[in-house]
Amino acid sequence: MLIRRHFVLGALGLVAAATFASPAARAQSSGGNTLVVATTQVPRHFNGAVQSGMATAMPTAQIFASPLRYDDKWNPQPYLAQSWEVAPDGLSVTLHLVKDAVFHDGHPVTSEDVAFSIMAIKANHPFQTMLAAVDKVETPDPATAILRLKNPSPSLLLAMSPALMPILPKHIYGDGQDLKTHPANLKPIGSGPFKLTEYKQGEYYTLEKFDKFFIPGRPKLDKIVVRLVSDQNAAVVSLERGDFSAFPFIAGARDIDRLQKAPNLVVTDKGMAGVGPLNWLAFNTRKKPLDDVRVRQAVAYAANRDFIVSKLMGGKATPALGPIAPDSPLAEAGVEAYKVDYAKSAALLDAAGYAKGADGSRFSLTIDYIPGGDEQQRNVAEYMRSQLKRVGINLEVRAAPDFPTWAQRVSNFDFDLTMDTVYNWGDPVIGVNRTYLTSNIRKGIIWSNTQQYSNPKVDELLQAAAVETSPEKRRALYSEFQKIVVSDVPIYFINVSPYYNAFAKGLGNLPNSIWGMMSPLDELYWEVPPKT
Amino acid sequence: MTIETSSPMAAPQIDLSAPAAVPPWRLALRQFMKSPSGVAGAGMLLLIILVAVIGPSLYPVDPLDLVGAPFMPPDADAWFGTDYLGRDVLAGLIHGGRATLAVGAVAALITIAIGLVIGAVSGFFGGAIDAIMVKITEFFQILPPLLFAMVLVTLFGPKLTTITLAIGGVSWTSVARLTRAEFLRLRDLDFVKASRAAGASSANLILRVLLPNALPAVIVSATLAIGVAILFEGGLSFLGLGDPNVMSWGLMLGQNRNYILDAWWAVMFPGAAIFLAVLAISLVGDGLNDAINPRLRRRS
Repeated sequence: MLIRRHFVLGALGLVAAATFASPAARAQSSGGNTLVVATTQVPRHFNGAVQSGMATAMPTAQIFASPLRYDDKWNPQPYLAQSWEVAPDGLSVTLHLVKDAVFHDGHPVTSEDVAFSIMAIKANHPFQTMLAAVDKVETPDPATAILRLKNPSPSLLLAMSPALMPILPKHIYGDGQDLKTHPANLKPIGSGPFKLTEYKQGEYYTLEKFDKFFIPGRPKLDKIVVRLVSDQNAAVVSLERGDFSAFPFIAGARDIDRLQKAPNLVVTDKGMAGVGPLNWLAFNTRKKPLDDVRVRQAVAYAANRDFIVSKLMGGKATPALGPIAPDSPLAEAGVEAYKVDYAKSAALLDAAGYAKGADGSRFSLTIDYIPGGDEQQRNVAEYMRSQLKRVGINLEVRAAPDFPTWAQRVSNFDFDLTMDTVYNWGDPVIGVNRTYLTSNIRKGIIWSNTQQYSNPKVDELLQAAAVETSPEKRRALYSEFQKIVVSDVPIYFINVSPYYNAFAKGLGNLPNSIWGMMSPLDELYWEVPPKT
Repeated sequence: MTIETSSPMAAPQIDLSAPAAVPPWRLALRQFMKSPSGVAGAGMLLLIILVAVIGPSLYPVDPLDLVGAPFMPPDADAWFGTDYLGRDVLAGLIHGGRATLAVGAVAALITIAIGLVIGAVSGFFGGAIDAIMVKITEFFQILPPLLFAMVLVTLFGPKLTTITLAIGGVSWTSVARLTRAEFLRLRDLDFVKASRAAGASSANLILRVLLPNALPAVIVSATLAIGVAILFEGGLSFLGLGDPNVMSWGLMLGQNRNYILDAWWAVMFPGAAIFLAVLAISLVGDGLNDAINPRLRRRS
């Protein structure tokens, strides 16, 4: 019954989308000033303080304001904080808040709200390392918040982005209820450029201009309607037809290619630098024969990253050589690239003591992949099978029926090789450290150090870089970290997952900052409103 | 009345295996050869089996190996083109036929084995045993077979053995019902009563008296079960539950369908292969049905 009802609702939704999307799009030309967005990213709720991920980050950045925001070159810009200072010893950060900011319910935004939000995020957000350095937040006056730190934390400024640090009104979220299940997560009140006025679960949500937004003259749009679509193919067709004006986070070379050819659209891969979504091949470094670094290097030399990126992924992906996404200012390009070399691969395997047997094979391994994303995951796993056969390794592809099955295998170290995709989320402290720190080998937790990789030197470098306040020294520490990790090969890095954004032509100030659609869309406007 | 020519062959004699004057299979074969569609189907099927058996040694390209760039259209280098990874579609067709036919045949055997045992026991003994067996059969019958097979494959992993067992395990109900009906019809006929009176044991009666007479109907159903199993494997692969380590037609179809607009050849050829194989098996099944069914034979 339930299945059938969902099906019927789904079908009705499709009909509704087909019937109502066009009038909504037409409204734009008839003096309306609306943006209709389609997305496959369905949020569980609208509170980015307790939930990570792009689906929640996009509306969170519209509904809530944050202390800082970022441009497209990783430079912090004033937002709720009109200015800020980091103490010379790095142990405190002072935020001077704008004075006229109010929440959607009219209450002023004060340092109390900032203090409450920071401690709430520290306690509830899945990225536990993000605010680990914050000891307490002092509020000497309503416009000043001073973050007291246990140790210097250069990653803190990036953590103040809209996608990661929404400022919640204390008078609503501070009522003692569990923040992760707070009723206001579905009826959020923030101080951002748009307020949530309607949410039909699984269908759409509507954001309307907040008239008292603290930046004069913004937002420029009156309304953003975000339609939640389950089928990317259908959305692509609607987008070409002009039913939608924006479609963020498009994955899949074929759809990207098709939309790039559409005359009415601008398609860009900008706006994902902050997220840094890496796609890679991970090794279980404690399992024989993969505990031998030469075997892991041999696997890396048997793969052809250029072929994967240009052929299997249709040329839409960017190669990634190391653990920090290439768009980050901290990325080190001078690491070993493991250019495909079968002779070298075979020599490494021989040296490791795994000579070819009579049947031409050395040993057998399995490879897992995350089900659902064929182009980035399954196809590469199947490709590796054929590549490793060339150097005498039998690779069996192990399909998981669903994500939980895969996650359970990998997080319980029940795997040899697996394809995986892990996001940087801006600063290495937020999204990179978790994969390599010995202290983060935590059985049962996915996207921890499931490779069971342990190198004391790497631990030391990451700990030093996390508290290093000199940007040059910090860069040098991360540079050494990247070189070591790439030569230890707990992971063979392949590419940045292609997530493209498509926009209707005629939109001005496209969100091309490092957080893209996960930053406030207060400057976006219709330069040339769409014709009907 | 051919039914009498075949039935008494086993009945009146005490030696239950005494041969009839003309072996019934020869009669059936003679009848089968009169059906043009049946003969055509058999020819097609033989050709497909031949390709699957000796093809791989004549065309020893590993169907899982990359031979070129992805999505190469059919040309002189790759006659049937390459798929989304750059694997040879022709190699997939030739080598994949083996797996596909093997899944079909083994799954059909499992179907027949389970169906025969349940149906025979149920029909022969009757009473409480029959009631229980019928309930079990009905229980399996009301489960949607594709969904049930999907659950099994999901639980035990998409391996070719699991897939084969799952297909066999969900498709036996019609064979069981058919066998039971035949046994119910046959068990009170005179020649069976005579064998029973002559002191034949239950096992003897089931295996040597009733089964040979129930078999013709079951053989037709078994032939069709192969076709159903092949389609089933294709369906499971289409839904992403194929074994990624063994190339089969279903797997080719299932994995390449996302790219049908870029590479029609990687979907069309395995699809056509499945179509032809299942068509051939259906034609053979129909021909056999006409040949074996004595009532039809009398009419012709």
